[in-house]
Amino acid sequence: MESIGVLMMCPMSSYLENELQKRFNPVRFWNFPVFLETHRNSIRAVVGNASTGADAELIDGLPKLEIISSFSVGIDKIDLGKCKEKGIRVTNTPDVLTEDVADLAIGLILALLRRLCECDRYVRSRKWEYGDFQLATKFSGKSVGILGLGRIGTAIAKRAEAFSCPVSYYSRRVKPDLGYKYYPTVVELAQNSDILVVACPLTDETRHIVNRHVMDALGAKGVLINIGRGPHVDEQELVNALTEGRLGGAALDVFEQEPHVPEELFPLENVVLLPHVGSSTVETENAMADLVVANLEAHFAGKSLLTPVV
Amino acid sequence: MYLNSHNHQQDKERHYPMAFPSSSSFTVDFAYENELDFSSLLTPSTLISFQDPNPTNPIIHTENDGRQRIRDTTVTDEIPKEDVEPKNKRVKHREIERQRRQEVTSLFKHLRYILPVQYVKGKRSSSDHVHEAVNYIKDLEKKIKEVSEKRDRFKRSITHPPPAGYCPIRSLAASCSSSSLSSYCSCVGDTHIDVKVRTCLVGIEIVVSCCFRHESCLSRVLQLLVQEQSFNVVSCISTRLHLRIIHTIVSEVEKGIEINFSELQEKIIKNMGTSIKSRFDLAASSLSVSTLAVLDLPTRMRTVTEAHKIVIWLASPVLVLQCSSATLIHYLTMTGDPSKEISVEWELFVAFYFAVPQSLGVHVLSKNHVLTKGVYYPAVEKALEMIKHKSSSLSKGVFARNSRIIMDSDINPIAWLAKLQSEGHDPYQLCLQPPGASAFIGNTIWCLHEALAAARPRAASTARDMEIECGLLIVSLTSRLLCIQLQLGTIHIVLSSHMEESSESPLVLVHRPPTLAYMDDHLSRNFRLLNAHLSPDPLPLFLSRHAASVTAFVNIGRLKIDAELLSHLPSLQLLVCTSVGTDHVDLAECKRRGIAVTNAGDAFSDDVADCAVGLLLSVLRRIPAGDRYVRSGNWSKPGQFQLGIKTKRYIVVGYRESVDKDENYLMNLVSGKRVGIIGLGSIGSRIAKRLEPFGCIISYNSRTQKQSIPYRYYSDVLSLAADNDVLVLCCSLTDQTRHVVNREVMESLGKEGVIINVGRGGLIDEEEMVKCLVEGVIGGAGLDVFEKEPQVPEELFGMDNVVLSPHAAVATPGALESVAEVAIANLKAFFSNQPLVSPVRLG
Repeated sequence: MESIGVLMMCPMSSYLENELQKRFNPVRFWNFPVFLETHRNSIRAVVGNASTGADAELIDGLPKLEIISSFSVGIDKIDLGKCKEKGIRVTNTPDVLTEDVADLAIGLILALLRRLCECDRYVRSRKWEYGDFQLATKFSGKSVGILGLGRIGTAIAKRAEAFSCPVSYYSRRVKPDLGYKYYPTVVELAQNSDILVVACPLTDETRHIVNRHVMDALGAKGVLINIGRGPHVDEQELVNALTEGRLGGAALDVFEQEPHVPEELFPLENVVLLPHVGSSTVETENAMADLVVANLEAHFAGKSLLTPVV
Repeated sequence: MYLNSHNHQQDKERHYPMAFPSSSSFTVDFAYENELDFSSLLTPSTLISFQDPNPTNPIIHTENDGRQRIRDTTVTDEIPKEDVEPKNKRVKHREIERQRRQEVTSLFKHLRYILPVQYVKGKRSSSDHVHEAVNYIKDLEKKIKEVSEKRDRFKRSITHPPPAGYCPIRSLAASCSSSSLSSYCSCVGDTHIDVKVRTCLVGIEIVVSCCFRHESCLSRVLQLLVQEQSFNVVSCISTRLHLRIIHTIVSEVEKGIEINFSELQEKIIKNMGTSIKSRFDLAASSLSVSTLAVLDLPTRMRTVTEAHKIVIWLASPVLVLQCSSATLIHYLTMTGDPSKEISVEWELFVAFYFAVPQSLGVHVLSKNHVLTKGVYYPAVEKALEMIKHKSSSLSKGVFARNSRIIMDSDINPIAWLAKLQSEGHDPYQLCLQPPGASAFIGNTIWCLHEALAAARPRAASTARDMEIECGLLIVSLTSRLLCIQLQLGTIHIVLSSHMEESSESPLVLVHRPPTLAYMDDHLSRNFRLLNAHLSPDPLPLFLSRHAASVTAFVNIGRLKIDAELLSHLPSLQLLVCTSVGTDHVDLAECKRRGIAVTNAGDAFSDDVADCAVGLLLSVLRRIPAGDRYVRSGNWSKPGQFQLGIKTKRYIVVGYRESVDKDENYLMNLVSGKRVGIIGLGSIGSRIAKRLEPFGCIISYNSRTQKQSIPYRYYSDVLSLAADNDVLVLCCSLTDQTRHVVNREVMESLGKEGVIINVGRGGLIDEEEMVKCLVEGVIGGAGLDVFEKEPQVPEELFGMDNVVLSPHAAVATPGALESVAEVAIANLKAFFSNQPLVSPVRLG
């Protein structure tokens, strides 16, 4: 398999690169973007991630492409229609990062409500010596609304329950066996929640699912947590709501045009901004890398894929 | 209505002595009587305007149908004019008539609203309402007359000594039935005094019920008994129940003498009629509602001679203390030779005071009086046990709560209690006696049943027990009791007490930092405040000037409470801290001074646990560092992979340097982490509960292993650290836990280990921790507390694997609200002699 060209779209995990290096002939797109032409006929696989996938142009440019193995759960950056059309297989890395993202969601809630980042800045800037810090907000007992009760949503709900938080959700289907309260619309969910967590996959229906109505329903005391995808939230409306004080706060791991973050958010104290690190832990990355490699190996060995999407 | 109401009667009579000298208008005097507050009925414009347009006043003619009458009068008024301009007038009249009717209807509506329910019940037509309004006014007039007569009567009885014949008495016999509690005899000229004589263990028991201004009956009965020769009075308890006094005299009867109860009863009643003036009467008459009378007994006892002890006693001067804010005092002494045995026998009762007569002096002994349920109940039980089994020569004991420790041997407890009382302290006591002795006094609800059952196994006396119990129960709720106890056999008790609920709320000393104003409202709503933080004077000066008599101190924030500061607060009994940890308080000194200390209890636990988990997630997932990175705008700059000073890279999927291997700066998965908690108390167990669904494996170290908890227990911190990835510190800071996390512990925690501290800065050797972080001995730290707050080691400022928080774990409005509630609950418990809500164990 050493001769099989695998195009790596961007720097991902060093562990993944090492593992690929051992087995394939990785081509680092970011090192040789201009030389892509020279490799186009040797590349049979593409490894992308949540932010850098494979668009129609790239797929068309790689005539020998057989498989796209994404180093992520979300595959919205991959042109799935094109893949189907050309018979290209697509895999992702579900499940492995569930815990990670759920941990981060709770971490973001705590960081936002308890103003941990602000606290940290406050101490580091030596302001403490000149006065006491202002009050934060209690988390335990606040109502948590989860938008999309899939694997990640359920993991978040389980964690929130330990903080004595009443959990409710909105999703396409009612999931009665989980025992959480279901709301048939996002606005109702937002109205009845102190904390709204976006944890659904990005599809055409869920694009801008958190719009102005939802933010207004959440209100000036509500906070929005987005660990899903940037386009779930109407970012411009979010910025307006936050700057006008119509929304209590927001903790965002994802943005509409990453890595671009609206600069209006930078001076705000009631936001926590993270550079899309939901799954960026050592352990999870290694597990995801293993899955990416395993999918590629299975494909080229003619076995069935482990986590196929297309 | 009000005549049936016992309570109203009580209120009125109690208030009159104060209300009358200044007021002659009956409307003011009757303001107490809500149902009689008819002044508002007389003045409203509705009623007047209703009468004005009808000078003939139709409501006078109310035999049958008021409405018909009204119409009649108006129609008759208009008839002559109708002849002149028939049509116009008719229209005009109809209009006027309509308006008038409307007006009248709305007036009736008002009437209906004003009239008491029993007048309007079932009445629909306006005329009925008018009719009933007339009845109502008539009734009120009648009542006014009655009440003003009564007022005059009281006025007379207050300005002049009560005539011997007049005595509103409550029949004791009738009081056995519960309904009679509210019946009150107000007849004039009735000489009836109820006397009951019956047997009891030591001899006979004479119960006399008389009115408050008839206390001389006690001395008459006692004198009679002395004159009778065959009686040897053992004790006398006078219980004041509202306006009655029930004297219970227990007397031994000389052997061989048979007592004819009914004859004795008759004799006593007869004796009541003949007035025997004694100085006691005079003294008694000076007892007024707001007077605390203390009979200065020990000096008196020297002059007691065998035959005339009662008379002499009664003739002795009475020390009267004016004390307007006094609450209940019970005081008692013990018989026998207690100096030898008391300390052993009452060893258990460390929480209480004992007044021990030694020859002629009285000693007050006590040790520790921090009173909690845990100490109090066993002590009461033990006392009852001893009394039950007669294993004690003890006759009486005193249980006092919330009192100061006084070890002086020469103190006069009566004077001392009176002093406490007059200073606004609140000694509150329970007396018990063994069977066969004279009496008990108890004034807490929960001990009363036991005390009665155990200490008074007397036959045929349930009625009185019930009554006293009932009275005491009422008393304990309303703090109105006058109790005089004389024991005239071997010992020598005076019990005094008084009664009026303190009109002023208790004084509480407050000190807080300027920013923490969250409790001001709560406090000022419930107490009078002495705000130490508002004074320009230095604190010690302020305290010694103004706070010498303060019993309760609320310390909001972290003001250091040391022996020096406490020395300015000689009367302090309760220190309320608003934190969970009390390392800023010299607990040993508090213990020595007998000061109870309370903390925030559970109020903060949820918030501190949230904060601990938040710090843990923030450190492991580098949340503040990520936030800084994004805010700096560096994420958006292409090719910018570095962050911070130490970090060679920041893990950003898609934007990171791929070669770096420095794992210390990688984020870590929370799930599956092994978390060791030091101090599994109310906060620690909440942290554990929160971390469980994260898939963390919990183990802990604490003073003792908790049997009911499934987590693994480590008896030492070192092995806890060795077996865990994360150490969470949430124990209290004591001498044992200071620097519990030292270099050795950090080394065994290892280079990927993380320390979370939400306890106290002193738990960690901060200097070593900084070194360990710099050297990479440990992987990171989340710190809410520091050794020298608000100073934070500067080395930490540049580290991304460290999350710093300005001791803000508790700073949420919810937590402050609940800590305010806990503090207020503690203060209220203290001032009402209930067990404290969140006492701190004093060593």
